[in-house]
Amino acid sequence: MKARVLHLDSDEHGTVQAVLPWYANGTLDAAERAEVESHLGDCARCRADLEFQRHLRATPAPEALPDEVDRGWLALRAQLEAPPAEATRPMPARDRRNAPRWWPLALGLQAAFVAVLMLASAWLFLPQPDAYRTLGAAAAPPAANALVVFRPDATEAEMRRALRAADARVVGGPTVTDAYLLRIPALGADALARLRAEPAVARVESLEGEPAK
Amino acid sequence: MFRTPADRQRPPPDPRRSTDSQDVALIGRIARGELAAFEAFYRGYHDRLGRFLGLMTSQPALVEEVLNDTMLVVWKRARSFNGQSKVSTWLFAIAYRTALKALRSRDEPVQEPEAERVAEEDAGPERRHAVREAREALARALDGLSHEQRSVLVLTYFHDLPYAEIALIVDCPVDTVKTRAFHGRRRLRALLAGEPEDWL
Repeated sequence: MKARVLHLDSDEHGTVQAVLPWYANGTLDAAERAEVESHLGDCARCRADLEFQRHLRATPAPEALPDEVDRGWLALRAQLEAPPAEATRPMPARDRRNAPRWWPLALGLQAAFVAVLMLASAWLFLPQPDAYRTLGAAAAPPAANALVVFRPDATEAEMRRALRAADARVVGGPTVTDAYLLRIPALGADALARLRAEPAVARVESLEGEPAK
Repeated sequence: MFRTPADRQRPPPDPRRSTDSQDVALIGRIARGELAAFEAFYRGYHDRLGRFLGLMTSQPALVEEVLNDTMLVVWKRARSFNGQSKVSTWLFAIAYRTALKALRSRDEPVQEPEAERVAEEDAGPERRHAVREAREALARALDGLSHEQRSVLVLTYFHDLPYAEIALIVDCPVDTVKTRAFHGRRRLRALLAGEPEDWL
């Protein structure tokens, strides 16, 4: 939008009007602040304007929910790890000008696909029921009931400590999304919380639904 | 006499908010390809960037896309950060340009803002209702401004940035920032005058 640039030095009122938002947010230097305060004493219009801006500032802005941070980070990680093929490379912003209207829907589907892929890859590692088992066959590994993603900089010792904190055993993985499948004998809110509290752990999911606290 | 300074109305600064020297150190590690540093940076700025982009675009579906596109630029171009501005200024400038490009590439009508989560969870139902109403009224009014004007107002009133820093973010002279703030808030006030909330 083309707006006429104010002639800020034409008068004291105009000068104060121009900087009043930054008086309201407390970022003016001492000289400008003194000039504004001197003018406010004589100008009812500026006082009313300041009151309006205080009201505006007091309106709480929305905050991102923690799971949105996790979801966003996982989506970005997936983008970073995707092979640089034409099909998966993010479209440059300049090309989106001509992107079809279904582009937002496609992005949504892509995010959903990442989530499904994560769970599906976990499922592939789950022990499947055998149609036939010989007498000498080894015992089936315990079924996974949780999924963990460790932070990229976690050391082996930190991962071991995290697993012990939840009495968890790794029964599969890493999956294509770098997750490990766990068997936690006493899978409950406490065990998951202990795991999540470990610095080595980036993400934990129960494969049996989130247990009640 | 006029008890303006921001701390009268705002809670104390978030202790989780990083300092610029911490940010510079993180950017250095990101430039060396350290994913852990990038994750820390992403998580540290997700909330602030999300609030800025949410109010700038009023399209919740666009926020994550623009936010991640912005962070992708950080990942790829961390080496180009030259320290001439604060890291947060550099980051918000990337986000501003990315959001403008995304908005201009779309010809869809602007969505009605979704009902937002109420920040003050300990407030009573009447207070929560009032906060939600005020927020929705503000979002509707912001929709009546140009993206350039609303960006300046959002960075001023909801991110408490000085005008010089905003000028760097939106890449225009300081006087243009002041002009956008002047015309923007005049229009905002006119739009909010029609709202049932006691704005004025």
